[in-house]
Amino acid sequence: MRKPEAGVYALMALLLATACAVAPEHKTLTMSASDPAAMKGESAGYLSAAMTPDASLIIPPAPVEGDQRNNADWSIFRTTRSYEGSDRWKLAQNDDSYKPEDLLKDFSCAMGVELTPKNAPTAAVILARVGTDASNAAVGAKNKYKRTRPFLHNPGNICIERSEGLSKSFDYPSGHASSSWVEGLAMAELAPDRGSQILQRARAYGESRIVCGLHNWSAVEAGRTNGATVFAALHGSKEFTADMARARTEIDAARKTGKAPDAAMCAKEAELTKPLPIK
Amino acid sequence: MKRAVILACALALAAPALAQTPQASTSPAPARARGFLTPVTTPDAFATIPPAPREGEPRNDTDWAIFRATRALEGTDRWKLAQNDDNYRPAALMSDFSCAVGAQLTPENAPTLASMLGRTTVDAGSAASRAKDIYQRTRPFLHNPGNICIDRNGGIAESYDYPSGHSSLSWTAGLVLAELAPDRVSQIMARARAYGESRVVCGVHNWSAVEAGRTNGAGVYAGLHGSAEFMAAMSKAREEIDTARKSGPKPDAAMCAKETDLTKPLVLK
Repeated sequence: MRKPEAGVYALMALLLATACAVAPEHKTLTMSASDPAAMKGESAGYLSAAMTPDASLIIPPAPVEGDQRNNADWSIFRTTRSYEGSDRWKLAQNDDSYKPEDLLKDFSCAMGVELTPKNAPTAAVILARVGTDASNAAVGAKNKYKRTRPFLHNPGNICIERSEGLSKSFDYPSGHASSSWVEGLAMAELAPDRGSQILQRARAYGESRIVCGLHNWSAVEAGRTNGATVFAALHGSKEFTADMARARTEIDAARKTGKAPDAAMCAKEAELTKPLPIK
Repeated sequence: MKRAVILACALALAAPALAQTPQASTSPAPARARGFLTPVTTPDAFATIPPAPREGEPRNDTDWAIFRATRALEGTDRWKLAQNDDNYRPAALMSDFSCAVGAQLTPENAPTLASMLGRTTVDAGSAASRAKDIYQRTRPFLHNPGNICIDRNGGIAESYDYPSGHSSLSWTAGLVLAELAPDRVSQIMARARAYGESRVVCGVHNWSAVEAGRTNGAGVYAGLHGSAEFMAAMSKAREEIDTARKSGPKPDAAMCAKETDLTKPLVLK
């Protein structure tokens, strides 16, 4: 149920072949991915409506203006504007795409092998479908809280182009943080000896939304809470567990015989994805 | 080294409950369960959770403001739930999740589940321990006036806040139960979130530590699927839960309605 992806992603993947190592001019290429209302694309999820957790019952309430949690959110937005132009900012631009091949690439360093839709086709399918489930689980809470994005209330640039769709879509919980957390958890299940690295990357992927300025800190935290519940629910889907078994075979084979990602790039990524220092 | 870490962790987890809660002091000492995970398959919370807030930072202001505001809950039913939730023994956890699952769960009707929850609790604690030691974040009641829901002289003041062990273990337990009863996922995870929030209500943990506990607990839950022993236990536990749900006694409806109300997301100002 995700929005059909434009061909721009393939181009972006090429441009970002060295991930955060270079600074491609791709701002205009990424904007459509950032509209969470648009995070309903072509892939159906695994979960039926009845089996989809309802984030509005599970996650904490969204902060409202005047709350101390809201003060912290906005303060974090303002201080993280200083990342503009840095390598961390470029990583946030990279992380705007949630296309399966980009996600496979994003998790390659953490996994220790270059993953592609060719050597891990079922993993690519899983990454697409669970993202839809995460988004579906978030919808009730987004509409209940109607929390608006931090850049609408505070001065400062964001890492992608502003758009009406972006401004009109809701902040809480973050769809990107929800989907990347469930995707990271699935990848960690497939390579449990790399759990720390994979979930570090997944956490950083969510934090990229804060760096980018699109989401409040609280929305990214709530995204992880939402994503975890979706991940547990997925284990009730036979289709999901069957796909996981196939994906495990693919990933095991790739890890044995596949190409290792560039070590220098991975070292840089490991540094950039350390817990975001927040003042 | 590994054994020492796990043992230390089991002791650290067990000590506060033994020392502080009425429930714990009248119950037998918990078995020193070992976890399912190895050091290699234990996700390191230091890598997976955000950094702990420090004094002067906005997240710290939030934490302490929430501590002070939630002191108003003293003596309420929510406070009593927080006192109840201090006990994380498998039997207590099973009782706590019974309404959410829709069946009365006990170590008698779900022995494999009981044993699993003891072990996943150890794993959740092991995953948290390095982050606790690196951040050395101290508890909110040491910096702010107000009562906490358990005895503050029971050793809790000497242990670290971030991430919350209770929030970690209850989130992991909730995810395990949600996998076993996926049609009840929203109810189960609402209860698991409330269990972590009980630490905020109680005043023994910062809000950020409870959030980080959920992040840590999810990583542990994913890691558990790499353990053949865990997966085998899940199959048995699923049969136990299915049977309990089909033919076992139901929890008291009035009590469950009250719990549903009490476990709604905590309103924070």
